[in-house]
Amino acid sequence: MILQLIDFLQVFADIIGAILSFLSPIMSPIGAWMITWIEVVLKVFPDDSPLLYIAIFIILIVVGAIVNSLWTGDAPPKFLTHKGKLTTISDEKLKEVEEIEDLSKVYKDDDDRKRDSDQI
Amino acid sequence: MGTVRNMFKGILFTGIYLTTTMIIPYLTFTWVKDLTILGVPIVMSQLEYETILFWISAFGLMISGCAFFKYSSPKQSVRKGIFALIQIILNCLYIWSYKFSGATEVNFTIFTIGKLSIDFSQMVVLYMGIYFLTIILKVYDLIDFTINREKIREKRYSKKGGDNK
Repeated sequence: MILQLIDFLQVFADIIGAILSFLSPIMSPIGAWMITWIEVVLKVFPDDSPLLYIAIFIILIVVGAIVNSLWTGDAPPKFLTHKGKLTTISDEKLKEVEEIEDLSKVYKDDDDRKRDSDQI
Repeated sequence: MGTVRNMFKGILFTGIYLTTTMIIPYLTFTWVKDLTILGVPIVMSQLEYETILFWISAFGLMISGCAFFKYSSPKQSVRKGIFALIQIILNCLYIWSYKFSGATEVNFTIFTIGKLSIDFSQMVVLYMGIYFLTIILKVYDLIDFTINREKIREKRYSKKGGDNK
């Protein structure tokens, strides 16, 4: 069993080695450049207290929960559905809404006229 | 309904990331500290384990926080794109922090045989190159989400209710 496992590991190592040696000439220079900026960035991160990282974690969770509860993505946010700000949805939809509003005005005017004539 | 689904996804992926970036590495390093193979004790002569564990915890927490924000955000939203990009960059820092703390050059002392040294830094360099391509992909996604924001929103809203009422 152990011998079989060693054979398998050898084959696995050969495959990984082949992939790595194929990718190495392209990826290694890019990786080396990545490392230069990462080392600069890592110097900025404080390494004396984990409190900062815990605080960042908590802030991300709280802000994420609030933002994604209020704006779930399956309906437009309430502040965008007001008439004045409806333009953010789409021009087509806005036109539709305007047409409906115009029609309702026409009907209302007709109703008023009818009522006036009845009274007369 | 959307809120519940978003939160569930966020919590689920936070759990996954906490396990893979913090708990498993932490347990592995603790286990590897005093390892015995076939009765031969292998003592790792790496002195900076505390530093390694510190960076694992620090970046693990930040990656998990970003994962929560990312996975609880709506599909193809700009905020999801932003946090996916931040998460990838943090992943790069996390992986390189292993090297920074000395974990990519591990020295073993096998009492009856001698010393063994393994250098993973070249492999990490290669991995960073692959990560660079992932960053490019995430930047492209973010640009795509930003440019096609209106279309994506309309598609999403129409899927839900058909109209924007």
